Amino acid sequence: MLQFKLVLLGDSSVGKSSIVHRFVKDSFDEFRESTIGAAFLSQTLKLEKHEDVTIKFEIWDTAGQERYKSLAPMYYRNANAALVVYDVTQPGSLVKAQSWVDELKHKVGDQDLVICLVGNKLDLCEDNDTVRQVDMGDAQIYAQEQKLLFHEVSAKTGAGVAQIFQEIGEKVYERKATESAASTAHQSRKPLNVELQRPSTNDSTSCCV
Amino acid sequence: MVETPNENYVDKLRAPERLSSGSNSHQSSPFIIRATTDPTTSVNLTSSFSSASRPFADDASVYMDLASEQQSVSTSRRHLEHQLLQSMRSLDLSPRGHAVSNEIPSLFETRDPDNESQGPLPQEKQFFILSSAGKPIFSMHGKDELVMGLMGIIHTVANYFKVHDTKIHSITNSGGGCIKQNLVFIDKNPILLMAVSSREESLNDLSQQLDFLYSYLICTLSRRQLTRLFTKRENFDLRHFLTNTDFENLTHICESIANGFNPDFLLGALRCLTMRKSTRQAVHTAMLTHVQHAEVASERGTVLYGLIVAPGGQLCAVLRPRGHTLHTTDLHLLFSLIFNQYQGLQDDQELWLPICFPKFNSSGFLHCFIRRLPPHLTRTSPDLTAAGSETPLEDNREVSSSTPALVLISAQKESFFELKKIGQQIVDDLVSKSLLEQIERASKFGFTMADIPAKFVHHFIYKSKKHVQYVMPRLEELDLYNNDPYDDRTSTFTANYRDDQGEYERPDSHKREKHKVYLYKLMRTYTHIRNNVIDQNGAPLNRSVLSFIQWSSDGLPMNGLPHGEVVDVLCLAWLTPTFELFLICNNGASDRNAVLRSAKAIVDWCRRNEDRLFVKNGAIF
Repeated sequence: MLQFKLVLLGDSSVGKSSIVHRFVKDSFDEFRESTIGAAFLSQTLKLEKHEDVTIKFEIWDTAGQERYKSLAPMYYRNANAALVVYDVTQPGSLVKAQSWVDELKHKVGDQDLVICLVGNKLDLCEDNDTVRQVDMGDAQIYAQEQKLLFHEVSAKTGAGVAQIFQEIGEKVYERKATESAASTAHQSRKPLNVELQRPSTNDSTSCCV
Repeated sequence: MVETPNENYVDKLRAPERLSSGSNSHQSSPFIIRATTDPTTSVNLTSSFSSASRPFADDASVYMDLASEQQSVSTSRRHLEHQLLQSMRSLDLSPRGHAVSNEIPSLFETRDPDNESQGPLPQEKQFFILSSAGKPIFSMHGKDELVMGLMGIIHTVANYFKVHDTKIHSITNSGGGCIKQNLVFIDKNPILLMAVSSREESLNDLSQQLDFLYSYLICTLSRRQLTRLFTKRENFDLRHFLTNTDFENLTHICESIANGFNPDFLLGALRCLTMRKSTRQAVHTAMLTHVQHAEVASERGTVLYGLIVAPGGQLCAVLRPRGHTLHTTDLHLLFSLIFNQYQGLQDDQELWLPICFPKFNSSGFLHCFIRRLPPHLTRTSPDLTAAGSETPLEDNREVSSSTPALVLISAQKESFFELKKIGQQIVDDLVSKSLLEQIERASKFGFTMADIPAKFVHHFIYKSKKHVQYVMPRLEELDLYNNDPYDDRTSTFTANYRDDQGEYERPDSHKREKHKVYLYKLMRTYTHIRNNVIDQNGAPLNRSVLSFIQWSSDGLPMNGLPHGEVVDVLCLAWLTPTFELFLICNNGASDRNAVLRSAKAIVDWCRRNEDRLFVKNGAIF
C-alpha cells in the first residue's frame, strides 16, 4: 500500500483535530481539548477515481499554538501533503494560514508538496451569515494565486471533509504514479546502459579508482 | 473547622474519660458478627462477597461459592447488594445506639456550591498566579475585573515580604468569628503565587500546592523561556502567551487539588498499581528487551525513561537508566497532562509531546511518546495496524477512559519514529504475553479492605517512604485526573441511604455527585489526620509518631448518615522512618486496641506484599 505523509497546520482552535477526527472516525466532539505537542495517526483511504487503489495517510495533527512552532519543521519535513486550516469566522486565522503557506513554500520544495487551504466551521455561517468573517471568494483567489487546493468544510456536520482527503489522495497518488513511472522508466534504461557499457570497459572496478 | 462533632485527640490527657464515657461496652458486639447473621454490620460485607476482582484471590470462584451458599436466593452480586442496602436502611426503623455504617460522616463543614459567593475570595480555597510586576496570570475563581484589584493587594503584600526579607510568607486570618483562613505566598520571580484556604491544610501543604502550579508553568514553558519573556519586558502579559489548554490544565489541577481525592499531593508520592511480582517483572522485561535491542540498532540515549501508567496516575512499570530517577512532581505533571488530554486520544493515535520536567532540568525540554495501550478485547497484531481503523470503534470508546498508557521519554526531538517502533514492539510483546490484560485488570480492581485482615478499618493509605509510592484499597470510580469516568460498578461506598430514597437505581449523575462528596470527605479527613502529626514545615513531629484522633457527636443527625446514627469516628496516623499509615475507621468503631491491631495487620500485610504493591527498582538499563 502506498503511504503518504500529511500534516495539518494552522492557528490554534481552528479545528484541525476535529477535521482529522471527522476523517478518521467520522464523528465530532464538541468539547475537544486542544492538542498539545502533536498527535500521530494513520488512516487508509480508497480512491474513488482509481479503482482498487487504497492509500494510507500518516497524519501529523500538530498543535496550533505559537509555542510549538519551532517543532513544526519536524512534522512538515518529508510531508507529501499539508492541510492548512483556518476558521471562517476568524480573519486572523487566515493570516496565520497564509504565513504557514509561505513557510511551507519556503522550506519545502513546492513541487513535492500538495497544499490544501481549508476554511473550517462552515456550519456556523449556515444560519447566520454575519458570523462569517472570511469571504470565500477572497480565500479562493488567494488559493488560486498560490496554486493551492481549496475547500470550505465543517468538521461538525462533516460537510466537505471527505472530499478534501479524496482530492488530496488522488493528487498525491497521481504524483507518485507519474514519479514512479518516470523512475521505473529511468531504472529500466539504466541497466540497459550498464549492459552496453560492460563489454567495452571490461573491468568494473576501473571506473571507481 | 469542625461543626457538630467534638474532636478528641486521644493521645492527649483529657481524652480518655471522654472516650470511655461512650457506650463502648455493648458496642463492639455488632462488629464481629458476620454479614450473614446480622446484615447491619458493614465491616465484613465485602469479605463475604467476592467481587471477581481480587488480584490476590487466585480462585475467586471459591468466594463466589461461599457467597452463593450463604445467600441462596441469588448469586447476582447486584441483587445481594440490593438486599443489603435494604437491610441497611432498616437501621432507620430500629436505631439502636451505635451502629456501624459503611459511610463515613462529614466531619468538616462542607460548602454549599449554590450559596457560595462567586467572588474572587471564597472562604474555602483559592489560587492566584500573577507576574512579579503585578499582572494577573490566572485565578481559580472570580472574574477578571474582581481579581484585578486583589492582584494589586497580593502584589503589595508579597513585596512587603520581600522588602522585610521575612522567612515566612504567610498570613493567618482568624478572628471576628470567621473561619480561620491561611494565605500563603511564594515568590518565584518573575512569577508570584498565592493560595487561600480555610481548610485543614498546613502552610506547607499550601506552598507545595503552589509549587505544583508553578511547576506546571515551567513544564509547559521551561524556566529559560519564562525568564526570557520577562527579561525582555518586565510587565509582559503572560496570559497572551499561554493558551486555552494551559488555563484548562491549570483549572484542572486546581480543581483536582481543591476538590478531588488527591493523596498524591498530600503525601508527595505516587500511587502504585498493585500487580503480581511476576507480572510486573514480565512487563519490565518486555520494556527492557526492546529498548536495549533498539539501543544496539540505533544510537544510545534514544530512550531516557519508559513508563506504563494506569488511569488515576497509577504507576505500573518504570524503565530507567541506572542511577537516575524521575522526581515525583515531574511524574505528577506528566500523568496529569496525559489524563487531561486523554479523552481526545484514540487507540491508534500517538502523541509526541515536548515537556519540561522542572525537577529534572528546568531549562530544557524532553519529548514524550505517548500511546494508549489497546484494550485487550481488540488484539492488534502488527500486520493489522494499517487496517486498524476498520475495527469496530464503539467498544473501544467505552473503555477508552480506563486504559493504561505507555510513555517513552527521549531527549531527542526527532526520535518519534524510533520510539514509535519501540513502543509498537513493547505493545506487541505485552499483548502476546497477555500482560496487557493483566495490567488492565489490575488497574480496574486493585485490592479491597476485604483482602486484608484488619477489622473496623474503613479505608487506609500506606506510603512506603523508600519507594515514594503509596497504596490504598480500591475506591470505586476513583480517577484523580479525570473526573468523568464513572462506570456502573456499584459500590458499597457510594451508596448513601435516606428514607426517601428507596430505589436502588439512581441517575448516574446523582451517584457521581455522591461519590464526589464521599471522596472529598475522605480527602479532608486524611489531610486533617496527617497534619496532626506533621509540623508546619512538613516534617513529622517525631521520628515515629502514632496518633489517634476521634470525632464524636451527641446523636444529632449528620449529613450523609442514616437518621439516628451518631458520629463516632476514630482515625489513626502512624509515621515511622520507613512508612506512613493513615487510616479511617468505620463510624462507631472506637476500640483503640482493636484498631491498633488492625493497623499493625495492615502494615504487616503491606510489608509482606511489598513486591506486589510497589514498583521497587523498575527495569534498569
